[in-house]
Amino acid sequence: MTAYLAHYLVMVGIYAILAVSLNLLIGYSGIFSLAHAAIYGIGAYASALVALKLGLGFWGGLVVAAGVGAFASALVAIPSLRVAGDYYVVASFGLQVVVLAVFMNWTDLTNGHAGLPGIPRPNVFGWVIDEPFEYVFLSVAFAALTYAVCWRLTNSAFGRVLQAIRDDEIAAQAMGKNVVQVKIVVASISSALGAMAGSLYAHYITYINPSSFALHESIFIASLVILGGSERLAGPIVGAFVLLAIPEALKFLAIPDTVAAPLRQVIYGALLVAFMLLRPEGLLGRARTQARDGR
Amino acid sequence: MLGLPLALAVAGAIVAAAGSGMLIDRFIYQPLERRGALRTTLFIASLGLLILIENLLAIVFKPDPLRLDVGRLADAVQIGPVFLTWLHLVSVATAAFAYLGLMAFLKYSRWGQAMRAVSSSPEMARTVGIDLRRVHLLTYAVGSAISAPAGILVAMDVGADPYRGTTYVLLASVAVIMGGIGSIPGALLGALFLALLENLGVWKIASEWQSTISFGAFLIFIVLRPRGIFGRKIQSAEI
Repeated sequence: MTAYLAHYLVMVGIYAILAVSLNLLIGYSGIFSLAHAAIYGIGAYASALVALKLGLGFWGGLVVAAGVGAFASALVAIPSLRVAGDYYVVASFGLQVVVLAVFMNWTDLTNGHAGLPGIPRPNVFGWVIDEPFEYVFLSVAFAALTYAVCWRLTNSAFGRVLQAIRDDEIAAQAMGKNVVQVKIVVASISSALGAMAGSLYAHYITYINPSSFALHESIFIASLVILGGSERLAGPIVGAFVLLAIPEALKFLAIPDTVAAPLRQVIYGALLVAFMLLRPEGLLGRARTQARDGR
Repeated sequence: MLGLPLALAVAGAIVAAAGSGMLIDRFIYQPLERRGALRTTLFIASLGLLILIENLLAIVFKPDPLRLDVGRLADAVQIGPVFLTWLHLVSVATAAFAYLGLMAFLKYSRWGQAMRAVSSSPEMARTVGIDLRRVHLLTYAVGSAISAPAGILVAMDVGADPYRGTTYVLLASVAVIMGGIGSIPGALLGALFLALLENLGVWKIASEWQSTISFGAFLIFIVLRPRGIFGRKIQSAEI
């Protein structure tokens, strides 16, 4: 039972990192990305490969993962964020598809569908973390670090520029802010943090394959943000606690696996639609001013 | 499953698609629009619907592909040096028919003209007495109805499976943006370009990389010509 609870908490920590970092884009900059699972996967694959092929440890993997994640995101952000926000949704959707194709088809590097087994457990200053409850500390520590980084960022002058862009891009531009540059920077920071979550996941599960980083995973991470409440930094964390509990609850019902997986997605989809209709600000959100003329 | 004739099945598919489009608009999008919901809210609701419907289909029909038996349509035809199946020709004819039909509808029919009016200026359209809600409902009905033949052709060609839709949503959005949002000839050209690119690409590169080719082209394209082939210049403030 303790091991079970520990596993739940580790996963909540990992998803909290993903959701809080994605919220930098969705909630604080008004950029909707559907590629966060791809970034998460890039982090996982980068640190797994670094560990397996180069023999670099946990910290090396983490740094490489964050770097590769930020680079991949900037590669898409630079062309697409120069134009309107709607393009970014499609571009990020595309990034998600392409990255998954790379995981599945570049078999020399990623081993395709079979995935990469035997990723070593992290060694933190001589302490090998191999028990689930030990991993809870690591996962929660990184979630706290992510939260602190995002808190610092959103409460700085840079954070206020972000919110100005979200609320009125033209006005921010008129104030002399370099809107495109700010957006690209925030997309890179968000991706570096998301890729770190991938690194934690790879070293925790010790085995990765492409199916953990597919489009439905991106939508799931976005759901954590939306349902938790994107107006507050803590909203996505609440989202992670609640939504990760749903599959655990479903396990108590005797449903065959072939139905349980789509059923989970049906529940997430229905929750998204219901929240948009009834409580668009999410569980922990405050309502943003809804009235905008001409809509 | 029911063994009904093909013509009836096609009609049923179109009616079902138009009907579900209208239901979604009436009970989800319109209430949101009335409340003045943000654009993102609408987008998230549509994303929720996508995974909800996709996975409901997976539960009801099981995840394996369902294939429509096409009988003689699968036979090959030779036109000059090119080998095709009848199904390929039917696909091209269907696309041409849908395209011309839609253009004629938008240009000559009262409702089509109303749609264009709403698209160019909702306020002006309201002033001259166009019922925005009904135009919206009709737009969803028409848009959904046109997607049904595409679905049937896919079911005939490679089989229908619940999760296939997402790839087509991506490719269709890419085609629309490439063509220029709001331009139907643009969307057609965008689609032609993507299809050509993917199939010429497969000549040299393994077919698993098809989506990568389209997407790479898309990124290059939006750098060079963000407004699309025929589009007006789009600013985020307008959207």
